[in-house]
Amino acid sequence: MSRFAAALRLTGETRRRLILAQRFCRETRADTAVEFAIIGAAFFAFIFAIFVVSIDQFWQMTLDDAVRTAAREVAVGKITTGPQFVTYVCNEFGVAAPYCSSNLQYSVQSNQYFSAPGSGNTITPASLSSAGNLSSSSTFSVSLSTVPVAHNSTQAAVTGAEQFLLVQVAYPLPFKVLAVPGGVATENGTPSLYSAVATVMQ
Amino acid sequence: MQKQMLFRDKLGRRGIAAVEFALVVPVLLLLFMGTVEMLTAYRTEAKLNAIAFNVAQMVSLAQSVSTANAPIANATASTPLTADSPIVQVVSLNDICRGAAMGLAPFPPGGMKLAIASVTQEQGPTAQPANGTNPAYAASTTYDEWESDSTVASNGTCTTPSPSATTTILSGSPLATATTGASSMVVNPCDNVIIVQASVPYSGLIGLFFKNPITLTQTAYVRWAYTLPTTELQCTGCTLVSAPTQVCNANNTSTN
Repeated sequence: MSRFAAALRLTGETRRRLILAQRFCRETRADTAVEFAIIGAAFFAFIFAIFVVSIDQFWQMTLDDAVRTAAREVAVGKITTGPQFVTYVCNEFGVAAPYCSSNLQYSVQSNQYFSAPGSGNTITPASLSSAGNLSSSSTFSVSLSTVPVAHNSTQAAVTGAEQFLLVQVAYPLPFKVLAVPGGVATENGTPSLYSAVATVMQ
Repeated sequence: MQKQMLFRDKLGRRGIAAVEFALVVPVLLLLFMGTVEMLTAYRTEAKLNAIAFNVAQMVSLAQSVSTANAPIANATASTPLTADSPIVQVVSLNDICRGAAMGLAPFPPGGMKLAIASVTQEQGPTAQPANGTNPAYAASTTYDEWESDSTVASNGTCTTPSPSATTTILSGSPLATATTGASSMVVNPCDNVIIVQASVPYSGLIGLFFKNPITLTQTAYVRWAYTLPTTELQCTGCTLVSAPTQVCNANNTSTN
């Protein structure tokens, strides 16, 4: 047992400590528990990452689908107010995600141009801040494209203007833990899910 | 001897879980990242698909299009939709492209290509009556075609060259697609099909390892909303191929 200590010609207190240390190193009774504490932490972090990414992506895809169908309803003139829009989105999305109607931020705009600097008839898209908020939320301002009107009794004359539609929706995640780390799981760098649709009013 | 083996065995079992974990982690991590990657690629593709269709809708509802930047002053009857139409609203394909870039969010729009083409049959063998006195009748079909390809910068702005620098959809010279693929959609004189092809380079996580990202592409086909025997969707500034005989616009003269 103390051959090593003897070889080093240690005596007294130092010798006793070395012998104790050797004995400790050979002790294996709690090895499994210690290993589990170390590996388990990494393992559960991994499981947690899978959980976070799964739920975020599931919500994102549900939101994308809900916003796409809601945008279609807006385009054909069935949805005409902001609250109607929220209700429609949350009827599909709210089944999966909590606090949909209170958390949902939206900007629904239609205009003659998507981006025409210097023109009054242009859509001004809301921007998504790093905190995950839309710069101008609860915006709902749409009008249908002007349809061709009868020019005389036999022939239609096209005199209207096409209206483009931009729908932007942000859903701040209700549980901050789902946004870690730094919005990676939401894939847009913010603690919000974001979905946009660009289409045309009918 | 016996004691020594037992001793060695106990020592040898130390850290076995750590080693196993270290062996398994790369595989698990690869599986996890692969799943996220495929999901993201699928989402991008679904988004692109929606964009192609929405852009096709935008063009479908346009009375006339141009490659110029928005805003464009509406044209007064130089290319009339109908004989009675006093003003034609001209929609900017460049503006449509910028809208498509907004619709791709939250994915980065940089490098997205938006090809928009239209094929209209001018004359064909299905016109009735099938004889020489019918201006729409011809034994072999002729087509009007135009295409405009826009590219999107990373800040969401679009470049729409006039004439188009490339013709992704209507390939060849003269643009020959109309006589092959799309012709199945354009069977009668003044029939029209609008073809939109959106593509975006997808780098994702594998972009960290591979220099050349894969390109996702989606195509949408729609008909023009105002198709009549005397109307034709025309583009100002696009790459054009015009049939010799024009029968599909009000004054039968403007050739595109």
